[in-house]
Amino acid sequence: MPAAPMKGLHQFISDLRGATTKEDQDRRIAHEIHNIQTQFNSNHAKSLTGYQRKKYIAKLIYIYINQSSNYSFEFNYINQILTLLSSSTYSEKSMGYLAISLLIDFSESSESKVPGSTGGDFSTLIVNSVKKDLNSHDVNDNLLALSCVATLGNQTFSDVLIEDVFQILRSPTSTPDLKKRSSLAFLKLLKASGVDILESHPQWIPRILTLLDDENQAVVLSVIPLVEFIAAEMGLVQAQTMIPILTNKLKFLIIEAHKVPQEYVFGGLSNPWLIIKICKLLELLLPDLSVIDQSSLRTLRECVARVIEISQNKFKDYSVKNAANAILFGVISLANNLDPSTEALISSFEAITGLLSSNDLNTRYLALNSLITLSCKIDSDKLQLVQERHLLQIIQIVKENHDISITRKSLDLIYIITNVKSCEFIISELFKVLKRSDHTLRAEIALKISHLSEKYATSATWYVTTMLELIDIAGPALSDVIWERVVQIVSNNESLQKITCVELVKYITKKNFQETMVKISAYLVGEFAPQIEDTVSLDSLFELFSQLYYYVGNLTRAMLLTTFLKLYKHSKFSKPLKSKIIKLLRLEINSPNSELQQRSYEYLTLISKSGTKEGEILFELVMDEMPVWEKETNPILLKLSKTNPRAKKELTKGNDNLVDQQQQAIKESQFIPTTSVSNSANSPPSSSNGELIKSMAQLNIQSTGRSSANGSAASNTTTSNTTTREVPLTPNWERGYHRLFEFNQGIFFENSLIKIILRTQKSSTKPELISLNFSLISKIEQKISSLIIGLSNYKTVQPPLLCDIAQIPETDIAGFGKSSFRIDVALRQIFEVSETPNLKIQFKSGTGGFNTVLLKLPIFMKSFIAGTELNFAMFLKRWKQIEETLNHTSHIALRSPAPVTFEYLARLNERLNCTIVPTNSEGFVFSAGILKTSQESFGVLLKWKVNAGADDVEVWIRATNVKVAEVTKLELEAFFKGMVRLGSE
Amino acid sequence: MPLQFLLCMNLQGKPRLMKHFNLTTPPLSHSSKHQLQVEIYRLLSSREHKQHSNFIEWKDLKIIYKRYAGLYFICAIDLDGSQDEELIYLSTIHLLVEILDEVFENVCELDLIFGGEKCYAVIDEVFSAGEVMECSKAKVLQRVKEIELLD
Repeated sequence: MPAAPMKGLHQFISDLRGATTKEDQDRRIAHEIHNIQTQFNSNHAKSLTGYQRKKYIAKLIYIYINQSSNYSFEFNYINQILTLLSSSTYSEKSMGYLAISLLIDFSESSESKVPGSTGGDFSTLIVNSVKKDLNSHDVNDNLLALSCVATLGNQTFSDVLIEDVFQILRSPTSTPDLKKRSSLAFLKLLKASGVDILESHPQWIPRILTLLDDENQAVVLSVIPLVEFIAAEMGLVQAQTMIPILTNKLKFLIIEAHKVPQEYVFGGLSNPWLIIKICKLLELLLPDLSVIDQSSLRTLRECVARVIEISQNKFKDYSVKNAANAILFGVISLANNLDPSTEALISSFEAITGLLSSNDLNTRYLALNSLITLSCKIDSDKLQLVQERHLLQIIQIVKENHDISITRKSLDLIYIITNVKSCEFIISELFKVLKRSDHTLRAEIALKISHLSEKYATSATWYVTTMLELIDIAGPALSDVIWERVVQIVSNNESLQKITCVELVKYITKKNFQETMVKISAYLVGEFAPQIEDTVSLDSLFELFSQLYYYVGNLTRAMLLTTFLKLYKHSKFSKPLKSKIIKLLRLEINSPNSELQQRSYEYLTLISKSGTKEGEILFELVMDEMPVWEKETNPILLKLSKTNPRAKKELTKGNDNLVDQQQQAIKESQFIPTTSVSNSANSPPSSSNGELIKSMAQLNIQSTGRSSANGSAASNTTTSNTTTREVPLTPNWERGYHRLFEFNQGIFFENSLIKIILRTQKSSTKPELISLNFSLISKIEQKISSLIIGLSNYKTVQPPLLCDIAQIPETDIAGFGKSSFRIDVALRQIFEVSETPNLKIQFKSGTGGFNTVLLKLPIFMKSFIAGTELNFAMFLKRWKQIEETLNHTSHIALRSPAPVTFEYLARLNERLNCTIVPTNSEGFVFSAGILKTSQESFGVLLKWKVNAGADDVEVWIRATNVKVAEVTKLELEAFFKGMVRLGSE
Repeated sequence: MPLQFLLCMNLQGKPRLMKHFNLTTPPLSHSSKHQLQVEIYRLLSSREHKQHSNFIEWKDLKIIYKRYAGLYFICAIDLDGSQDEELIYLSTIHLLVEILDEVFENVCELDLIFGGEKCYAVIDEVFSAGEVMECSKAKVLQRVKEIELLD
């Protein structure tokens, strides 16, 4: 039965809407709140019916949302909400949950914020209520509770509820509705509490991963963000095993679109949301192509091509067109990962520039966005090409557009593609834009101009004139970092000081001077006044500054006071000037501004004391030339990097442009200082070349630290390999493992569900290469699904063995069907048994049981040995040679499961790929082989002592490398021991 | 990128629906939520449909909005790392509006005022933890019908 409509609520809303004046409305609201308060507080609050309670809370919600979210209700309604939560009527319970998510302010600790709560931690009360509903037998209760967790989940929720939520997520009996909700609720809790919980429950991750293969599209859609988060936080390796599954899903949606159920088709497009999410996840999982198998790669490329084809269609419906474009952008972004060559990137760039002329502003905006991402991936020298073709078009967009977002994007793009060649032109264009921009945009453009002109300046003079022009035009919009940077650069470069000062004086004598210009002048002209004395005398400088003094703000005035003191210092012999300065300072002692007062007082004291010996020294010390600036991180870059990806990259890359400049500085000695400006002995140490390099080095260290924190795939791979605990091998792995030492083909593993047959094949051309061919045979009637394989215990840094999953299995196997896969192994150097990787096979059987099989791969060094024919004399000669050079023999006595005969040894040696040396010797057998890695070859010699008929055998092994002999010994030992043990079981 | 919040307001800036996913720690206070509404309204009301895109980068948010008759539907995602997702969120807004349209048979502002509860039920079916959870109109409608019959 549907819930009865709340007439009282509707009446209340209608009344409010009928009220003509604001006062009238407020009065009615106050009246209603008073009424509700009375109801809730009165003694019969307990006897309120569920319906009444629901109605009153609904009214409060209405008042909160629609009237003003600034209302706070200063009475105890919390208990009523809690009562609603425990109601058995769905609409009441759901109103309770809605009220929690809207009415309660969780920003501060709950006790202080919840009015009239009757003691006890309110959060805990809610969490307990949610827990009850999570464990309820009614699915609808579960769903409401999960939804609440997904909205409010915080640390407290996580502590109490995460296990319950996970149980719902993993349970094979959960409905799709429960799965999708619990996945996102679980994600919310992980975000709130961090991934530590997963580190202590490593077995949770594979169960989550396998949900990616769920048949319900909404479940997959909801699991992807969770997987994305886990992969980003905990390393990509585990999730990378899902690449084939994701590829299959994408293929289904794009290539086999006709099979997609109708409810997931949006205006003729199959599930755009899911396609985009999958693309994003794949992009994350594919930092490079080494982790993807060829067949998946092929399929993905096919998908990309198909999407581009589809995007050529004309869509009538606006929102369908949007969705189609969204898919296109997502796929192109993925395509750049699939083929990261510059040529491919440039052709993507070209393709997208076509969209720039679109009339649809959204498309334009996104095209610019894509171009920015793309151009960050293209080498800057290759960008020249695209820049020549499209620069004018992009500048045109900046000039014509009214949309601030689009203008910003175009400016970002221009900033990225600028280079030395085009810099002057682009800056002149940017100046034009700057002049007609509003305040905020001005500030942004100014930052870009100032960084570009610093980065690509062809001459120092050009830099200075450009910057001064910028400051003159941009005026107050300018961020302080810009003029401060100019001051830094000029004071660090002797060659610039004079010309800058001359220019500055011109600017500040203009009628409509900029205050910023006065600030720079106050610093630079004050400091370097003697250099321009031939054009402007100190007297006229003083006249100029003292006039300006009354036109500028207090901050600038304070700077000017310092300037006056500097002028005082420079004017060593000019008494009249000195007295003018003192007069001005005296005047300022009476300034209403305390800072100015203080400053002038101190400066005057400094001057008055300078008559004495000590005072003179103090004056000299204080007024010494300013030291060279040592700050190496460009503050402009820092600011730019907040919004612009290229600037961010530059910053994290270790400040490329600074390095460039440094080189430039060495070449032209123009920019960043290489020599000290100050010659005085007591000046602080100036940044000599060595210092600079040192600080550069520090910068580099910092930036590498940052990039690894960002989660570069490589570092994550290794850390996650070492940190995640290795799951134990599946029981019963050993029999197949040893069997495959003796035989090249056989049953590798068998349990009640599957049987795996393995054939080891040596490459006919390359002795260091073997292929492991697996056949996985299903022993059950039901379908096996979500089959994925992966390697663990696999060293990714300098692995002795290179293992490549050359062919992946089908993800689904029909009842009693089979699927095959292949792993190619190349030997790079000698490895120990403990270093062989494990094969991990995961699958779902039948109705959802989840299985993991972990097996040690039967890779033995002996597999890489090739027999060599030696006569006995040669054998003896080599045997002795090794003795002389290495003085090492590995010796071991082995117990065999079967009586050792000559035939047995002959067969065993054949398995070891060693050739028997023909002799007449009775009690001994000799054999020899050559071990080849991709880097070198080793000789292996074996001497076997046989006690005919006995079950023990002794072996001496000599090899041209001690480790080879030892490993061969260990392999033999492990094999014999294994066989004896298994044989006796 | 998950949604930070979902907002619906009329052309006068009166809020009609509001769903915060509380992704920040601590979550926004009531007064900062209110402040957000006021500022976003100021942003939107100054924009012309013909001359502007549906996206605004504002503070550390990316705002994606669309106007349907007398109502703005607005979602906000984190500016950082939200590359290329604007269009799909625009489609999501459209999906939401289409669903509301069927639930209320030609939805209008009054429906949101009087049928707030139902609207939140729809929002809860489409979004969870700020992510799009269900994108099938048919499935959402079916579930909303089920819920109605639950009492």
